[in-house]
Amino acid sequence: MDTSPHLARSQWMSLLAQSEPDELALAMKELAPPVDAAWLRPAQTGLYMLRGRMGGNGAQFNFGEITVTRCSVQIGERIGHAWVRGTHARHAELAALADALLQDPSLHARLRTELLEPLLRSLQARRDTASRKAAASKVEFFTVVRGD
Amino acid sequence: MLAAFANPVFDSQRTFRELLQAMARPAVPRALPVLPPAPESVAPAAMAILLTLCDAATALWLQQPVGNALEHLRFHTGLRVAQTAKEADFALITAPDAMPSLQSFAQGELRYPDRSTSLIVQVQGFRNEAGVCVAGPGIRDQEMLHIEGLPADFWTQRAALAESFPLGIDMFFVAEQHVLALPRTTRLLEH
Amino acid sequence: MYVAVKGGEQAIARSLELLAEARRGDPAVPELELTQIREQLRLGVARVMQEGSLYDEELAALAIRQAAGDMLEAIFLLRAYRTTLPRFGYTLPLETDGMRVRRRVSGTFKDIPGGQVLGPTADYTQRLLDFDTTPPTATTSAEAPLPAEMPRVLDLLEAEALIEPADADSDPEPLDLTREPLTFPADRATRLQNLARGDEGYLLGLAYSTQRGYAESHPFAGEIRMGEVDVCICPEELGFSIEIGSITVTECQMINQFHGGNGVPPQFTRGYGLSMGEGERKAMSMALVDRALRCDELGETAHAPAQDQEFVLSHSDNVEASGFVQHLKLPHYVDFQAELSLLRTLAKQQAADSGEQPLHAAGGLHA
Repeated sequence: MDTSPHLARSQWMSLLAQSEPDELALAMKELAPPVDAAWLRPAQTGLYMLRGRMGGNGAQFNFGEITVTRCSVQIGERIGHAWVRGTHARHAELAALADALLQDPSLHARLRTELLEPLLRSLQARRDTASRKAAASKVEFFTVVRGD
Repeated sequence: MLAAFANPVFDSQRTFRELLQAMARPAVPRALPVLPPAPESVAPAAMAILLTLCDAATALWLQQPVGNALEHLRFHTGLRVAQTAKEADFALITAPDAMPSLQSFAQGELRYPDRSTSLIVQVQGFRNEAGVCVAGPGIRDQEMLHIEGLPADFWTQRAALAESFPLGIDMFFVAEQHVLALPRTTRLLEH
Repeated sequence: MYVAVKGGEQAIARSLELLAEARRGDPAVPELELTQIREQLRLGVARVMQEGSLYDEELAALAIRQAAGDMLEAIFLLRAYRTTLPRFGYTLPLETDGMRVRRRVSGTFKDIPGGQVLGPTADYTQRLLDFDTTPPTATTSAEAPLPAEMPRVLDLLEAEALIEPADADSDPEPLDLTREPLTFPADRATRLQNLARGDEGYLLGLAYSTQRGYAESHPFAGEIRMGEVDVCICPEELGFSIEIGSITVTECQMINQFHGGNGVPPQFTRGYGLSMGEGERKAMSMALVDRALRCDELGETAHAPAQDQEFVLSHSDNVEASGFVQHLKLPHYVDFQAELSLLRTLAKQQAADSGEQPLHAAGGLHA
């Protein structure tokens, strides 16, 4: 994921999907859902077939399925979409709302600082912690030559 | 962009039940329980059937691919678009007087008679009087049936299909909120 | 002969009551919460997801609780549930080289770029039952995180042309076993999908057989990595790809000796395994069986069970296997009566042929 301050739509949609549902809900608490929101496609859980590649980079194969919840909402002229892994309907609804609102130039800057940036910091912090814990179990080989 | 069923799971289940009943009792109109919003060219009753029966594994052929009908259907069902009528699992007929011949749709294969095109035909109306006389499984004795707006040779074409049974075509006719089914098992009786 | 098989409705209802009671156990003991199963039985959850062929920790935890810990039953429950959900589409292929690694080891090279990372593993425990209930000590964190990208160990061999290239010049649409039936011969993509859903114990046994000489296998674990990968889709509504979340997977790249054949020079060949969650044993077994099943393509003589794709793939699915084995306990009264009557006729005939009177006819044993 690109971590530059100016996120393209694909990046903010990815970030909203990768965020913890509880954090997203908290961050969007202040944003009253617009009264004219029309739920074009109410949150619905279905399946995607996961694909892998032989050897990691060879030809594709079907690996197994994954639950995905999708949702689409229209606010004014703007349509917000969301696809999030799992069965969490609220997560998909919030992500779709956020996607629609983020397309509104008059709201975008505010949402970027109040919504996206905290979510991104939190996501990066979680990943950094996990990675540094794993790094602590890195093997340091000692050889006879080194005389240890 | 329009919404579809308000409760996708329950609405499509209720619709499916009615379609099942319609197929089990051919030639008798049944009211569909939910009529979803639909783009201009598509009747809400036809939309209810498509939302219920189509998904990413089915291909649809549109007689008149006008406006945003296709976009709307793909958005809500994920269905595929059939390039020709023969490749279609479902076909939506919006102008029945100009519909292609029944021979141009898939009739299935002897090993898989189910691999045929199911037709959804939007008509002006239908009633159980005058018209043709039909009989077959699910019909007690016989039933009179008149469907408005079909091509002049429609019933001749339909009768000709009987020769290749179990191959054939299953049809739904919709008018207002009603659906009427004509499965391949329903025979036309000579007057 | 007509044999009544109806009835027993009430007995079944009572049996279900007993099952529910047995599942719950002593009501004085608090019921297991799904989060407890998900957090504390994560490897069981991973297995149920992998063989249930559905990545969803919550649903897998629910299945494990409902099945009272019977993993095959839980897998069956998950498989049954997935059929109720609509299929939205196919994801983009998982990019395991972008994995946020938590474990990564190689059995072939000591020094690999990015290093060997043990992560959470039972490999170095002494398998002593631990009666100590004190909470674990806090984990240690390194100063710096691991590098964002870790090159594949096998790429080092590929750079020297010592291993077969991963076939990436063509990218055919793989067959989907959840949509199309298995037919033989099955191509490698189909075999991998079958093995991915296959029973871990069965694949482990087959993999073990290849090591013991029942296939021309001389494997090395080139690389095993476990961690999180992004799941990406490209919906038509958008026209661009997005991440929809991350999942944990374990990937195993086996390296096998190959003496050359079918016009291919001697080189190392690959076997590939991929498993949901932390599923190292499964991924390794899958990789060994994958390699064994490539015998035809590589011109090796197939003589071992693990090289017989019809045998291996037809019996790998534990939902199918358990259904067919366990259906034997259902009423077969009519079939059995037929067998019984056939046997009685044969016995009578044999007795008549040999001129002996059956015992019962002579008023013997038959009371």
